[in-house]
Amino acid sequence: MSSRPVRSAQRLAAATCLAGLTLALPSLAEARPNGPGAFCEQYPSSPDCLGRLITCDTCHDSTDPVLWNSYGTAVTIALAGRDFDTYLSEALAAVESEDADDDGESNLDEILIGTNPGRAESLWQPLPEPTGLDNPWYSLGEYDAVLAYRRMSALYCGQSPDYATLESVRALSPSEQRERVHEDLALCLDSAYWRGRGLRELADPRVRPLESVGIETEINLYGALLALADYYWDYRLWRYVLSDDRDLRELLTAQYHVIEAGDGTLERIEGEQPNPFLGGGQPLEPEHRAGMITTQWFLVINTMLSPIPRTTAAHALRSYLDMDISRHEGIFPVAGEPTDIDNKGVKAPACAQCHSTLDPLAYVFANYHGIKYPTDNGKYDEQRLVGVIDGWEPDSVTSVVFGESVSSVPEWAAVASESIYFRRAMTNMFVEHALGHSAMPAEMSELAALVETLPADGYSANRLIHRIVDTDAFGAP
Amino acid sequence: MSTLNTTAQSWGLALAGLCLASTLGCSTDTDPDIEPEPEIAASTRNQLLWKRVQVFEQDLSRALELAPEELCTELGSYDCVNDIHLVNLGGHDPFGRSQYAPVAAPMVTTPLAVERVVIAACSKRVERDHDERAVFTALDFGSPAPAATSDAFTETVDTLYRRLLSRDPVDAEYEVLAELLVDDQGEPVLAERFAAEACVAVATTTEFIFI
Repeated sequence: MSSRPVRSAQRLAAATCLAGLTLALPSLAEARPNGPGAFCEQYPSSPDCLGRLITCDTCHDSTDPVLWNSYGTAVTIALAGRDFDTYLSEALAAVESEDADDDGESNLDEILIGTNPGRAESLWQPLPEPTGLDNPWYSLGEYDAVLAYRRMSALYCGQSPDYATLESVRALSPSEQRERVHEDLALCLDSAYWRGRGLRELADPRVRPLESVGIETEINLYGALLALADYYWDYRLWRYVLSDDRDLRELLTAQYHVIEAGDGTLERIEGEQPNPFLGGGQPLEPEHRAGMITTQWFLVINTMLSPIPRTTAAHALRSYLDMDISRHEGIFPVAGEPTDIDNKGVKAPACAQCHSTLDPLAYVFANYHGIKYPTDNGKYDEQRLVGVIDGWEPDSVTSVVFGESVSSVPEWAAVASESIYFRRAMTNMFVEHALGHSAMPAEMSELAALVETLPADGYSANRLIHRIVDTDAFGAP
Repeated sequence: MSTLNTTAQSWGLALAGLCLASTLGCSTDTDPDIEPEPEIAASTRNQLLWKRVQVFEQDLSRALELAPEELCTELGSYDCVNDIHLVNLGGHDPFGRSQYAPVAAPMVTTPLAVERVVIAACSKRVERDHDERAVFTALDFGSPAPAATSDAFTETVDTLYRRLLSRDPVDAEYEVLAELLVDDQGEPVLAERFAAEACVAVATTTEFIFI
């Protein structure tokens, strides 16, 4: 304890020197987008590399202008001006035993438990044991099937169990209670509530409906309804894929569409669907389809009129891979990028940090119209940018997803849907919904196990939910 | 006039609920010479699941045998739950308001919205029970509230706990609700006032709003 002020003073002095060095050598002040990847090679068991996503925040308070937090400062000092890629591993190891943010936990302990070693407020300590008389209502610290039943019913049936139901659960043995949780969970996952509103609400931030240009619009444009696309196609596909033990990778790979029968049953249909208005159908040929990220609505609302649909790629990344590139998440720089093919100035150092990843993600989406009057919204057109961007030819740029070159959106979607990031994103989505919060350090091991079981469960959302309900994070009060 | 009366009644009910919550949650005995009684162990996880708008509405609707749209309306026209107070109650509106996700945690105004809906719903149930007994079947409306030792009181408290919290009450909870049987002067209140205040008290507990 007594060494803390000394260490702090040393760190302050070192940081002051570093600041001076940074000002003197501007080239040092470039962010290192390959840092997160190297970090995870060094610490593969860190929760940030297993169930969550490593970001620049681990070392930086800001990447433009570049500002390091205390951990980033310590690592930079340990690098001592040597080549970043070559010596990062050594520098990380050199500061493992230090406590950069002075919160009482070493850098290594924080990395392994999933808190930020450069921010004192990011701290987690084991939960204290409950003390006092035995609690007659809850099994504290262990799985409580009655509590789990109540939570399960509220989340997936849309209402709490009534008195008679809960009394019947209470009367069972613990093992019978646990069986009952799963029996009734299966019924809830088949209920109109979950198949309708419950699943729909999970899709809202991904679909991002906008009534004024959707199928229910009341706006007229030169006598035609301004229905540019119909987002209910998106919701139906989402609900269909995430129910009945279907493979949730089809969110990104489906080449079919889904309609709703009069009784509410969802039915798969094949082929192109004509537009009833300016838009509102699904006119895209099946071979160019890639689930949720090529619906007419997705392309209309994200691409709109953009030549290079960066927003489209970024929203696909955010929605299905849990990577918000505007927050420096999911940075996988591609050598030689960005080429700045449309002269938007993205080669500037501050922009290139993200655009070296984003632009190669976006190129394949450029062959799809966003809004195209009068009735070509969301259609595929390999010549779309010919004559729009000087020098553009269909093969003039190469798309890259997680280091793999792809030549089409279906290929893009295939790589994405097979990635660990997709599994994490989908698992995180259901876990956060079930717990009401992101997984905390004590819950990270259960989260990582859920991510691992998804393939063996056939990528079924329902089976994933059954496993979530079985975790202590869900059922232990 | 009826709006003013309803508002005054609402505040009265809210204050009653607040007093009750205070009684349940805190001990006023602070004599340092008295050894505190050992308390029942409490969870240290601090992770409750918020019953958001759909579950809150459904649970209240089922417990009080009122259709969801009958629970509460603002100005007699606007649905409190799915329109006016939707966001405060943990819901979101992607289509009309372009709000694509709900708030992460209860807002400062969430307790107000919860109390608003609960007070309206409990008042509606009491009003409806005058003609069509469904919940407060043991009470004699128009007469003074029953004694704390009466079967009518016990049955009413049991009914509220079973309907709203899906469990039986414990002794301390009977004792707390018994305080609502009399006014500040110790005089018995009318049975319908006790019914409404007891309903609000149970339906605004942490246990009803979180799991």
